[in-house]
Amino acid sequence: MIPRRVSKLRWRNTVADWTANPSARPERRVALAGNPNVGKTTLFNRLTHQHHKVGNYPGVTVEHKSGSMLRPDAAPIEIVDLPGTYSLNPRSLDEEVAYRALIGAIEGSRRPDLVVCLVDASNLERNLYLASQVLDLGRPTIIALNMVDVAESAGIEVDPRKLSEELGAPVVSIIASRGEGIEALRNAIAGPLPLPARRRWKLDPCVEQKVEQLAQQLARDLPGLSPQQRFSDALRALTQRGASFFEVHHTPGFWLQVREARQALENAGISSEQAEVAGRYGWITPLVARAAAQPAAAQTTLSDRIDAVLTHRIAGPIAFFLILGMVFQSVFNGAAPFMDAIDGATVAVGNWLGASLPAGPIRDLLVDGVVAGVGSVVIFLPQILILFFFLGLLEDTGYMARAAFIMDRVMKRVGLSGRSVVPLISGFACAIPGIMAARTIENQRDRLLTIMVTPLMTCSARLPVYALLIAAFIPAGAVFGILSYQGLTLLGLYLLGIVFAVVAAWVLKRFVVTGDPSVFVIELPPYRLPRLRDVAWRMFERSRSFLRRAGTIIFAAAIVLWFLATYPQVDPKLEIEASRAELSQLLSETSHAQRRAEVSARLAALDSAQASYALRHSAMGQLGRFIEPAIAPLGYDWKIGVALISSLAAREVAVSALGTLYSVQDADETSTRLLDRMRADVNPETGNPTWTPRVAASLMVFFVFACQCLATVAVVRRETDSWRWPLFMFGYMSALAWIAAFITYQGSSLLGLS
Amino acid sequence: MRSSQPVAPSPAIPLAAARRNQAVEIRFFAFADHVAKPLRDVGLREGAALRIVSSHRRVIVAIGTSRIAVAADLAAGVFVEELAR
Repeated sequence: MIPRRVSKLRWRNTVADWTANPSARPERRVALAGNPNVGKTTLFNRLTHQHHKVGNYPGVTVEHKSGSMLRPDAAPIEIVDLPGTYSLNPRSLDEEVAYRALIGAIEGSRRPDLVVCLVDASNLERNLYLASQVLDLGRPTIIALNMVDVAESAGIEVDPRKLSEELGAPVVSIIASRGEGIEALRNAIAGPLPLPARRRWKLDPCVEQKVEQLAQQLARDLPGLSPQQRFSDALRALTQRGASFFEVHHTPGFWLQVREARQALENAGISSEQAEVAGRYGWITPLVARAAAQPAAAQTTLSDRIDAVLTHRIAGPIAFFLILGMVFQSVFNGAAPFMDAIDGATVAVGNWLGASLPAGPIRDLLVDGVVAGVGSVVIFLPQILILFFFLGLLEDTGYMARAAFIMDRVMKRVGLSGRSVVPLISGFACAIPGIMAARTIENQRDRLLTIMVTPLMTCSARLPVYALLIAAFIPAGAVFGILSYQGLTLLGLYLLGIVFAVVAAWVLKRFVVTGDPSVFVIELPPYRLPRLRDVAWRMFERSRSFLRRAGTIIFAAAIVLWFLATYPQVDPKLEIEASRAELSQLLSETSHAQRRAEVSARLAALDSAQASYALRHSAMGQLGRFIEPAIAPLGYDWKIGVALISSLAAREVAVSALGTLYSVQDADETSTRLLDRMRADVNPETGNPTWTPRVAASLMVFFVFACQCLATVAVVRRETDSWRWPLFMFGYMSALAWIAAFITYQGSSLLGLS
Repeated sequence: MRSSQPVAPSPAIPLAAARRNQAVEIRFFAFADHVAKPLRDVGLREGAALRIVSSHRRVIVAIGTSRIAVAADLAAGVFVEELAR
């Protein structure tokens, strides 16, 4: 755990020692590079005043993003935030993005003029490995020595001037999380470019000789390459077997020479693949000893003591499920008063519009379409905010990496590794960032498997559907007075998604995506107190995104659904008209109060039957009845079918569709709560309730498995660069959803449940 | 920097079997270099001095201030030299 005390370190930087070019180029492009979880995005946000997501676990950033560093006295400087990487020998897609950006190999973007390489002051030796590779690229580089406070608390004192002398590059000390040293870094970035560093580390003499020979060959093959680039390429070619995209521009003659050099080294008993590691660390280790004072003895930290419990083989999984349980209990119990307030506001707006506007299609559209449709979704905003509050805490404290560690055992059994857990947990928020986070998995088989099962994790868009059905059909009691049935049901749905994601991965691994699993290695960041400002900003961003969806997709869907539920309008049946005339006559002739009440009730029932008849014959009714045979075995009527089709746009639209449908059908009802209308709905043909706990359970199970999200399908298409996998995913999830809902509905019938 | 092919030196013990709080040093990896690379990337390299934080099925090791979790089968393939008991 890192204390939040103010560092007493005096901000020093050595930029002036390394500058050559006196004029700053106005179009300067600056790349932020560094190990994962070293604070690049935090620094990026500080420099550009943006609010990109940060978190205390490796792999938060998987794409490069850029922003402008504005200065009152100079032209804007483009700052590019790169995914974290441990070395410039990329293994995963996100690392490859970082490497390509640094060498200027990303289409449409040029090589950076300046690289700011962040290093963790508390973990200097490992971080300087990447820094030495960045320096070898021959670009002007500034070393940003971050987390100086963490180093101090661990008893490590780094001398920036000494470090700068040793590295041959300027060093600026910063604490990005607190904004300390940022102004000095800004000045360094905007100031004259430092001279590129020259290589100071040495390879084993035999390897050095081979690399020189290869670099000479490159000079003949590709005269445009700089000497530094020639050396880097030659070194990589010799030491990295299976090197990927950067091989393509080399000639067959060069590769023949590489093979011969490897063979010669092997014959001499020298491992070419260890050469770079040994050479760089042979330089870095004594360098760090000179530039940083280390504590005499290894310390057991507070993080170690917390980990003794949270990563314990028995206590760890128990804590994991307790934490998840607490989150979902809070989602239900904590949101209730806020949801009631939004519900009240929605009702008030509907009533006000109903009273203010003249009767007609415009009023019906606004009250029954827009307010009922959008309002029925917006009501779930408090639950989504609470969910994101807890997800933010888990991400900021550093628990995500522990969750990956705990779940590795289970994931291993199904052929994945714990590396898949971070994308899967990210899927609790939304499948799309989860699928993107799979870029951190270097093994392509594991990455594809993770992408295929991440949409089974319960995303926040499912929450409105679950919350509506749970509130309507699950009693509000509690086990032992603490664990509410409703919260437990929600937890059960989340667990169902997790369990079947694991099962699906196992099946896919056996029959569809075969191959060897990747190795599990993950860095566990120290626990940190969450920064409430970051958590609050994430909640704000999420609520803005949710309300934007409500104001666009759901708003549009509500209008379209209202039109489809209202038109074409049909004439009521003759017998209904005759009965209405008869009852109206009777009402006008009767003065007995009880008799009048009976007649009024029969008239209301007649109105309801007429509305139901009109709805069944509307465009939406016809569509719903068309698909009804396919969904009837699941216990659904055509209205639920319409909700399912609508939810393909976004899962929450299912709730909006039900809101609009029941509002149109029960336009004269005094109750405006959707769940009350659902509970009261009766199938006009059978006379049985449309909604029962069995139907609700079946529908919730359907939503656990169904891939009702076209945006997810589109992202899978982009990430796999093929239509094969998104279509396969949509197909298997839809089939799974139908079968599971069928088993739930019919199985509960066999068990005698209502 | 010499070949990393496994030999079985008698004083070495597998990392996975090392006791908690034991200080160890990685001698070499008993598997191919492409498997060793992810370990080297996070600082688990030949010659690195470690401390075992936890060694149940998956091993957590401390290198300086960083903590690295490794699957047990990988950890078992890392031979270490005992530095202190």
